[in-house]
Amino acid sequence: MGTQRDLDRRQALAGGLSLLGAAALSGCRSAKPTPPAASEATLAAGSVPAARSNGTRLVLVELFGGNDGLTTVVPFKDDAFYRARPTTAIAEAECLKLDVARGIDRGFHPALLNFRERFNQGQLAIVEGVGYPNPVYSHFKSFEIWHTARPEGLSSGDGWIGRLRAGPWRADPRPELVVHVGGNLPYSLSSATQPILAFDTPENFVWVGSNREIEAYDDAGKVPAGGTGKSKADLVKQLRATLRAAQTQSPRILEATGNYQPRAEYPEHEFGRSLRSIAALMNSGFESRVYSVALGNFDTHASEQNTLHAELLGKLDSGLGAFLKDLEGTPHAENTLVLCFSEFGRRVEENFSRGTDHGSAGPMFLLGPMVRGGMHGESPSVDKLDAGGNLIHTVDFRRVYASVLESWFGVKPDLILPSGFQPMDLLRA
Amino acid sequence: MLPQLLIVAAAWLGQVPSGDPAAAQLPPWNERTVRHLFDRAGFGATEAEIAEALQAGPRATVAGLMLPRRPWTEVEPVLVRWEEFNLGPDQVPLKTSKYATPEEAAASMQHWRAVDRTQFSQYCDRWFSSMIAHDDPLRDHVTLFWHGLFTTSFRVVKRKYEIIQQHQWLRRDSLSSFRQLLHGLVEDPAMLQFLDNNTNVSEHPNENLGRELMELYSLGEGNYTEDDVREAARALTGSTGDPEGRFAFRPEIHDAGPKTILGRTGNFGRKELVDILLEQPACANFIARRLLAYFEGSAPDAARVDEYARCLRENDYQLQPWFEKLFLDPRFYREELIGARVQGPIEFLVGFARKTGIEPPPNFLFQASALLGQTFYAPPTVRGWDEGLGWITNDSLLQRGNAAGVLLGVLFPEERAMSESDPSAAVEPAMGSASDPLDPGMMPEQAPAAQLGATVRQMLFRAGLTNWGPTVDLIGDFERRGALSDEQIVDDACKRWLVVPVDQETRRVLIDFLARERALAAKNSDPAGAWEIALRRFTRLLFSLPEAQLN
Repeated sequence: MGTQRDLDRRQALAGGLSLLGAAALSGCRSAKPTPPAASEATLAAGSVPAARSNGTRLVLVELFGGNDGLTTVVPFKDDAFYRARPTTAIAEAECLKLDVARGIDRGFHPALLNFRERFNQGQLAIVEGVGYPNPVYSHFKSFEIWHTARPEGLSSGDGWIGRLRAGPWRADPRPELVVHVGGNLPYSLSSATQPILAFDTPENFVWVGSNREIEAYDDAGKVPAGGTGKSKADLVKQLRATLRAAQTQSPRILEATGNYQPRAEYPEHEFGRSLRSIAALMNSGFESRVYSVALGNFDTHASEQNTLHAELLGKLDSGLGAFLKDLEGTPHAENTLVLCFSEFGRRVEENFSRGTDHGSAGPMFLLGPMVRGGMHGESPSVDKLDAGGNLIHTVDFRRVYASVLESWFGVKPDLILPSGFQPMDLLRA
Repeated sequence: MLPQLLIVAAAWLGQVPSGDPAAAQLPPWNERTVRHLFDRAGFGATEAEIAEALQAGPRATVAGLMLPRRPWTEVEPVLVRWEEFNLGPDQVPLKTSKYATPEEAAASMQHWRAVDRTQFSQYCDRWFSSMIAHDDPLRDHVTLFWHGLFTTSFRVVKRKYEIIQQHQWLRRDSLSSFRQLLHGLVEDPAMLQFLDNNTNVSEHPNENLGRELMELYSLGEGNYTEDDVREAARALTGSTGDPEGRFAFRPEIHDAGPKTILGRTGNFGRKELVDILLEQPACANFIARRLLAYFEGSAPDAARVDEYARCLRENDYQLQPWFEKLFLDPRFYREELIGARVQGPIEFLVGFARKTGIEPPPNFLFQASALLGQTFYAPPTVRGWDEGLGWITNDSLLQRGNAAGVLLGVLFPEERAMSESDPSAAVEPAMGSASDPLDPGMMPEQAPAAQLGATVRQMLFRAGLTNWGPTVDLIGDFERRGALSDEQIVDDACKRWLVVPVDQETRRVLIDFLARERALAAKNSDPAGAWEIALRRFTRLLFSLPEAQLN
């Protein structure tokens, strides 16, 4: 038999579970979420003091598969672009022109209506031409570089958020500090020593059972790893930590998402639902610093280029549109920064399949009230390409990471990134 | 303790270099190593298989793994032609045909989708059954490996004809040679469609297949240049799948000019390209590393990769000698590998069914493995699934326990709990009743059905499981094995179902759980029924633990 605290948690488990029952909402035994184990004081340990180093959250949006930057932010004045893309270009008349008066000769893909609105409100920053030296055209290797911020990729160790977690944030061991909503974990979050919290569908993030089974499951999950052979001890320890985090967080997440009343209407697709879950967690006292979510597959080699790309950008736009609207008017709005990235852009010249092959540089997007909206970086030239017919990057993605680390998290970029990446002026003071 | 020490000692002795397989020492042969072999080469050993293997010895057992135990007849899938069912009698697409209302057009589409889905679902059931029955365990497990390597997804390849044909080909050739497989890959209609090679034409080559062929299927990143990718794409132009779902070479869109690929120049086509790839030293190393990492469950060191790459080269990429070498290699049985591998979802579910003797209902394993992160024929990316610890997230770990609960019949949809005729209703209080008078806890006991996660529920309904229950007699099962007391049951279950034992504290939790359930069952109006449910719940609890995910 457990202590009173255990009993409370079991009640929380049962309370959360009952939310699933159709008629169980009335008289449900909800419980207060577990109080945070670490204070903000310990959170800030190891980081440099900065105005917004506390309570700021980053939402990482990974556009996997290689987003075609040139039809996302369209260079509609560029003849070279239209020559290279006879069937896949977005026509000047179709694109959502940004600010022609200020001489911006770029337009958003027609699906990006919310993006344009945020841009006009000064809440969206476009960093053009983002890439890295010696571009790699493998999805996986390129993502490794983006995820670790190091050219060696996986072999260099933890992901960049993982390093943040294991370094400046190590004083806070709570799994909720870094949350991924969805199936596959992006490597950027990975840390060899620190847990992350990952779930897909909150309503299903539960081990179902009668109270007595849940109690035994919980008791077994509390047992620390040990007693196994040396070589397997680490593996069991890691699995045990994963199990324990699942057991303790599942009822909190169920309660947070099950009771959530958003202030905006989220679109009915997975990406939208994931963002709704993130907003729900933010509004229920989760003290996560990084949320991660992925959208894809942007690998438009063939004729799906036009239709699929439009569909995916539509999901990106409607999902983030609802999310930002949902946060508006809450204290979370000013504390939330959205960062969208992809492993590479696509080849400038389209192929015969009316699609595009793997390319190099592409745009990154930052969204939120604290963003310095507008165009940043330098547009890459569409007619002066590298030997392989690819855009030559003008901004290293690690400069964007450096800006986020320094201005958003108050962490010296050199603690996380290879040195020498100058932060950009992407966030308002 | 002593046998364990002996294994360790034997495994250590086995680390003496064994370049010549004939001179190599045989692996230690005991219950633990036999289990290890069947866990990795197949989907877990039954008691009968262990006894047989111990009797037969390592050579005969490994030789037996190369042969099917029961014949497998390939199916002839139905070619569902979208273009045909989409046309009215006037040869106009149904959507605009005067012969069909929009509803009729949609219904026609729906009908044919259902036909295709059904044949795929039936095919999956057949394959899952073969794995559970160990009809041809090594072949089936290696087929699963090839599917994870040579990824193809039904999210891209819409017709199930090509998907089923690809799987049958992979299964047929899974133990042939990597040379044969790689040649087959560039002529496989599903692969050609999946990586856009049907529209790879000489004028503007599409690099998708050329790149992944080198990066993911043969050499590995870093062993070719961007120029090689472009040239390989040219060599692959014209290799397509035709409307009949067959391979078709179309010379009119093939670039017959000279290409330079990995230092060789010639008017290469797909066959020459594949031969050039197989000639690369990186190729045998790449595939040996992938196979070792999968079947040993641990990243191999450079010396081990070299040794096993050499085995591929010396045998012209033949796979049977390769697997024979591996499974007779004492180092394959070294203690640090045993139980140090996270089972993939399909393996976990198939292994669970084999261990408990439960025959899963049709379509369930497909649905459940998808819930656990491995949708058969829909890997998340072209690189396949992230294996090992990549299988385990907070979420998927909980779902493994849920899937085990469904298979054991202790989780079921609430509609069924309503039914009074249900035997488990006898031990569960009716829905909405105030409390379980037998439950010493504070909480009223609810039928688990009311708490089913949304996706679990969906999975049950999709699999048509509303009226399904397993045929299993755990009471009799444990009794036959002489496991009567709570301690004996827990120890017996851990011994036969787990490779990595649970620690003393966890063992105590399990014993306490059984003790409490036993006391409650004794007071139940149907004590035997209640005790059977208790044993199933205990089994499900055990398979929910981290240790049960390892083999």
